[in-house]
Amino acid sequence: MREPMDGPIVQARRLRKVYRGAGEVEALRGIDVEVGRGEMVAVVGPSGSGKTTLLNCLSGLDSFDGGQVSVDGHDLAKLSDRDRTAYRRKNMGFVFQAFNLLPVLSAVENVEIPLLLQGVGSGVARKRALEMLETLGLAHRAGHRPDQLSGGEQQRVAVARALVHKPAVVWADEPTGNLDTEVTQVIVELLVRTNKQGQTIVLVTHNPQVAEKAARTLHMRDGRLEDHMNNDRPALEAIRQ
Amino acid sequence: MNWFLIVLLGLFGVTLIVIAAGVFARPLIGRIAIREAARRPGQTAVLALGLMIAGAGIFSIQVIFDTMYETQRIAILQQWGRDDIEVSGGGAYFDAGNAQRLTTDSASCACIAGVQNAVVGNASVVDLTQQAGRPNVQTIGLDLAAQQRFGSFVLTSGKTTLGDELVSGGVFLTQPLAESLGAQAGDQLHVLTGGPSSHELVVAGIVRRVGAGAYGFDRAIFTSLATAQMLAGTEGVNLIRVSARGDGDSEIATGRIAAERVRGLLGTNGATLQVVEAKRATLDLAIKDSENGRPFASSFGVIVALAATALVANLALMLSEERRPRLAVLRALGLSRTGLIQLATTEGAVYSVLGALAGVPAGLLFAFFILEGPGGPPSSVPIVYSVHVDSLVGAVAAASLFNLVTVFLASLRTTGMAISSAIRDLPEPSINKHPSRKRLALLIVTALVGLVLLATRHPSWSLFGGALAIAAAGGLARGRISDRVRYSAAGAGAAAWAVLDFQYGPKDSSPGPFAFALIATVLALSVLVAANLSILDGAIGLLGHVSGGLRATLRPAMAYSSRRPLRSGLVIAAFSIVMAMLILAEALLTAENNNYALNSGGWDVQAVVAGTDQLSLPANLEPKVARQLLLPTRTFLGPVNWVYAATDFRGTTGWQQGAVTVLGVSMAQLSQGIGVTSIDGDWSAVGRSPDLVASVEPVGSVVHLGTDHGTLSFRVVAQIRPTNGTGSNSIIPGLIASDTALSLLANSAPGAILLLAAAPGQDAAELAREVQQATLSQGAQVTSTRSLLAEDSANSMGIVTFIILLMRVGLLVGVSSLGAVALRAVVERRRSIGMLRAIGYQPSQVLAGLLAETAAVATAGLFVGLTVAYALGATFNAALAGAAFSPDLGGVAWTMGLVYVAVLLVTLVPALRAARLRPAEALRVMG
Repeated sequence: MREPMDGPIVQARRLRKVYRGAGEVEALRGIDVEVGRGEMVAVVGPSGSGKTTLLNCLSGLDSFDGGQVSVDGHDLAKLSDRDRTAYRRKNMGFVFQAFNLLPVLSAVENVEIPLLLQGVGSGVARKRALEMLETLGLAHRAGHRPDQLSGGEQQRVAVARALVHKPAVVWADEPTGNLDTEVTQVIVELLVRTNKQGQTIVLVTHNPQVAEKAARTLHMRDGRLEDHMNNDRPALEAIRQ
Repeated sequence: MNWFLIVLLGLFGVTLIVIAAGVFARPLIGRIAIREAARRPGQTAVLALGLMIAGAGIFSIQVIFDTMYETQRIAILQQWGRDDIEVSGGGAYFDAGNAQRLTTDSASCACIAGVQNAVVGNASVVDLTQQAGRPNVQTIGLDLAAQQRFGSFVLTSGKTTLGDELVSGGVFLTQPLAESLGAQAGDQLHVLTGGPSSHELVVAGIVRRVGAGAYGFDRAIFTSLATAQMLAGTEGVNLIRVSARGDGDSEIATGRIAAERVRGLLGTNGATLQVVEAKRATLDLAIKDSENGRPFASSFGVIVALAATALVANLALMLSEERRPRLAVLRALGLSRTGLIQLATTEGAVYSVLGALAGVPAGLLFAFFILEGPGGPPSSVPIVYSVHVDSLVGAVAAASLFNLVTVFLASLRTTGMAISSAIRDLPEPSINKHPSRKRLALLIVTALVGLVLLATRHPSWSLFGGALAIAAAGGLARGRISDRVRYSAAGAGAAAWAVLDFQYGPKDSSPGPFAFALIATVLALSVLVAANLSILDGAIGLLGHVSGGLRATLRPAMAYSSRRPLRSGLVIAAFSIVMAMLILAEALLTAENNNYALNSGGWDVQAVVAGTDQLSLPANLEPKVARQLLLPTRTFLGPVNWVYAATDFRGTTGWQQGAVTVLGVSMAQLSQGIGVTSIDGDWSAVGRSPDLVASVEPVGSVVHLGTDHGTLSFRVVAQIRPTNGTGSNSIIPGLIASDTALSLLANSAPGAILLLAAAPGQDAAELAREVQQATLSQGAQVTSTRSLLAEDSANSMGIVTFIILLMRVGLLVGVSSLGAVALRAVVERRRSIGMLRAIGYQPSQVLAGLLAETAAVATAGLFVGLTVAYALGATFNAALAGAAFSPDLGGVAWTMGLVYVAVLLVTLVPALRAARLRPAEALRVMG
């Protein structure tokens, strides 16, 4: 595991998020959190504790109601939606539980989307997407569409899509939630390997075996961070409990 | 109620009973179906709208036909009044005492209420006061002593009379004749009947076309019997009008008994007399014409319904995609695939019946819009709105079944799922592409059915059979060649087959082959284009060299179009079928309007006269004329029976009391040509025998005339092109026969048609005015052929305008379907949109992508429509207008432009909705 470098890349102070519907639900209740550059952080906690909301707010996918979030020195609250989108495009990668590959595009076409969005020429984009798939052992499946890939292969394509443009942070929301143990292992190893190469990764998970691979685990309950634990044995036992 | 309707209603009833029984057996399915329908009212409304359009498309045609028929029926009843049976001498005069015998007999017969002697003829009438003349005016001389039973005349002054004013030699003019002459009561008339001398009479009044004045042609004069006999130079009569006892339908029913009685009586006393149940025969023909025309017009309603069906099918596919995880849970809980199909069909039944019922008021509104607009009957005829119960229940049943079958077929496709993948809303794993044994058997049976139909050589079924066989062959090739090649080959093959068979295959005059060719070509080309939309991907790839951002924006949008060929194909088919029909109808209209050279036969002026077969051009006008052609005519008034060619769906008219004009052409004129060319048959054969004629009717048709010397028959050996959409030729308004044929009709009213070609530099309209002035005393009506054809075109525009209006509604369906599909796409792709927004898509890119996607599919639809129109246009136009296919490209471009604007407008709202989706919210949605 790679140690954090040169201060936090993600920093949140007194982060609050309230969902307003029939009644108000305070999903995040003044969260203070930092993610170091090149760090791999796992967010764990029971369902409804606010893990995904925290990830969405930190990554700029969702707005928040109080506090401050800065990523790589950019205050997300001060960015317009357009600028936030442009920032995500360049600096962030996402991996979702349900893979969220575009069903009508092939694996390589899915992977090259972030590059094309950044204006990379189509030839270069295709080359880099293929290289990324090759790195993940999927070169032979580049022309296949999601419905022709296994769950593990689809998630590896999703990881490739998240990494291909070399983002500052990769956000992964339950990346192994739809996978069996064996494939989970493959995906986790992949994320760890990427992290070892300097990639900052924040992942939300229910799975202690996944969480234990992270350098640090944040435990959430009722919209609060209960404790910050380094991944030593007692801490993991606590998650299991 | 006909067999088709009985079968249709039976099917509808059985279907509903089966569905209801299924719900009764498994109430859970009914409950879920109702809840799904009620869960999203907006979504239900969109579905019901699509289904409603299908219902309205079918129902409106039935309303239009019911109304047209009822309007015509009322007009016929009004025209014939109390006149049920007509006894005629087939053009010859006979003893007036026959009527007396019938009158005497009527005392012992409870079936005859009145008998009236009459003399009818054809004359030219000149209003000496107004200095205006009209030929082909029907002269009707009536025995006024018997007028009571046949009703009163209603004068335009409001006075009602039994015709006392006619006794002293006065005449009544029908209102249309008076208007065309500008005549008023008191005017002096000069009447030329072909009798020994012409006569001057005084207009005693103008009669409205009601009551006794509704009898006969629009342009007619009524006189006393004595006056008519004086005009004809006879003491005999040529017509006896018989009124049956009773009123309304009972009168018509009694007429049948009375006709037998009259035949029996006159059979022993007057062997040459013809007895025709005139009123019943005309009504029967009206019913027959209505029933003959109904399938033709209904096929256009079905085209609109097909377009709507494509929308429904697309929505059904999208809904099932969206519900896939929920349905998978039901499957996991133990519901079989049949259960899922039952669920979809039950829900579909709710939508179908709702949509079909909603289609009733919509269809009524649309029919009203058409009938009151330019597609309706002439404004002189008051419209009598009518909807038959048969039409109502038939349309509801047809629309419901149409929609239900669509939903059922869609459910067959969507209920197959890998439960584990579907529950997690993951993509469906790849399936084995080799067909199962069941599927293989089905395809083989389909192919065999297609080949059997092909072997029948029936114009419609062989075309359909060929296309079916090709489609089945495409299905059999599954797994052996790539889908793209398979769809492309099957699409291209079926389209080529449909076009070639329509052009060169067996033909008849029914709309069947055209309808099959249109539908088969549209579907085949839609499959071909949908399978090759990936070309768009290639184009997007090229764009990538210019702008990676643009490529990124368009890539998913184009991929959604190109890699879901079924959905895209359905929208393309919906667009193209109505676009093709619209272009074809507009081209037909253009052909009608712009075909002067062909329609006029090179003649600039037409002069028509009745009462004489001599019509000469004054010497001072000779230099202004380059060519002239005088055709003597005989107009037969009496029993007429058309037996159309075997290929003509109209069959026979049965014996009608009617008029047939025969034009005599000399051998010299035949050899030189008369300007009118035949579109089918052997023109020169007309000269070989007096019973061979050229006509607008198809070759092989025969017209029988009940003359005083037996039945005289003319067989059509050459078909000339009609000058209008109603199938007549206004330049040559009759049968073209040899001059010797005219001698067979010596007892019929003489007349003549003079055709003139203006000398170079001469204005045709001016020449027509001068000839009119010069021939006024002969009662000639002189018209420039240009104005004649323009009037002709205006009169026949109704059906084409009707088709165009209908197809515009169809285009609206296509546009709505894109809007609905875009709306559903936002729901269905919510998470994909969320992902794209997460990784950096700007809202404007989402918006642009959706707009580009719908525009691309619309373009493909319009392109296919245009291709189909050009592929079928030549044959279609040749058959209906005898003209080359030459669509108004400006009009086509204008229509396409409007379609694009409409497509963008209907897509904009859902696209904006998609663009405004917040990524975190969109990603939160599961399924």
